[in-house]
Order: sequence, then structure tokens, then C-alpha cells
Amino acid sequence: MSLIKITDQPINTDELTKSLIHPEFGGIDIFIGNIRKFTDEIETEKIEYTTYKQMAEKEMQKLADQVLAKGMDVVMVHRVGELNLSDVAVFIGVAAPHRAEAFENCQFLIDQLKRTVPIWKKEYDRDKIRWGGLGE
Amino acid sequence: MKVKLFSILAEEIGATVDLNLNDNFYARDVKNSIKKSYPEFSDILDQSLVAVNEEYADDEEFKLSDVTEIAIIPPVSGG
Repeated sequence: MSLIKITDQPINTDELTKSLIHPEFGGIDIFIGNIRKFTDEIETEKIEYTTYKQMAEKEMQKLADQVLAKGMDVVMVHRVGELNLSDVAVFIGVAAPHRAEAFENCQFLIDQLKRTVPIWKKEYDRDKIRWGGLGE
Repeated sequence: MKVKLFSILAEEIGATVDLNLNDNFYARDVKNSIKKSYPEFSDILDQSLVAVNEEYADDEEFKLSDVTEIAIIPPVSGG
């Protein structure tokens, strides 16, 4: 019952968490990424995410497949469009028989998503606009 | 062939660029062709990857007839 998608709608974390509950799984690990106000002294006002949707969902599915193949359940949802402070940008959930594999695979999925999935952020900071991934 | 652009490249250049590619080409050649027209984006193009048919493919060689879609992928920053 895995769910992998990119959406321009708000992410309903309660609903996604519930979708991971199953008698086979004793541990669910969830990572929720929110829009953060401060990165050191830089103050962020909002972030606009864009994506190459078809490829991004394929790349997310490839990552999820590696975890699903180990008998766990996976939810990966990333929001795009204009997000304000504290909005949920990404939800990663892994349900596993035991906690250790849930923790480990949830971290794997968010780390890899940040490396390989074609999603980009344009950060509207108080002093200027910054493009994610490009440094200054 | 229309090549899709994203992120800062899409905003600065446009959603696509039209390129004349050889019948056989390496994916990375696509970046070099764009650099010729837009040298000011060389730095970003050097950091970008090329996706062919929705797969990362920088070092692969393709026949143009097998290609349905090409995209330039600047450094990603999701999450």
C-alpha cells in the first residue's frame, strides 16, 4: 500500500501516518520536513518548490522500491508550489516489523531524495532570493 | 529537439531550448551545446546533469531516434 507522489496540495500528515498502520508492522518512523525561518543569520520568508514531476516520481519510486523489497511499507510525499513558514514540504514514512529498520530506512529515503530527486527550491530570504543547491 | 530546463535555468532562459543534435550524441554534449548559446550559465550547466527519457544519463551515448525527452537537471534541492 505504498504511496509515492508529488502534490501541489497541503500534506495531511495524520492521514499519511494512519496509512502506514498495519498489524505486521511494530515500528513506524516518520520524517516531516517543514519550512524553517532561520538558517544561521539568513531569514527565510517563503520557499517556492518546482519539479520535473514525471522523473521525480520515478526517482522516488526507485528509492521506495529498495525499501519495499525488504518487506516494509513506504510513504513519500513532496509538496511543490509556494510554501510558507512551518508548512510541510516533505513527508517520509517507513513502517517495519521493528524500530531499527524503520529508523534506518526512513533516513536513507530522505537523504537520497535530497540527492537524486529532481525538485528545486527557490528561497525567498529577507535579504535576497537564493536557489537551493547552488550555494551563494 | 526541445530540451527541458528547470529551476534557475528555466527562469532565466525559458522552459525549453531548441537544439540541433547529431544522430548519435553523448548526453553531456547537450550541456555543451547550451553553453555555446548561453555562456553566462556555464557554471550552472557544469554542475547540472542530463536526463534522457527521464533517466540520468550524462555519460551515455544515444541515437536521436531513441530519444523522446531530454532535460537538464541543475543541482537538486528538495526536502
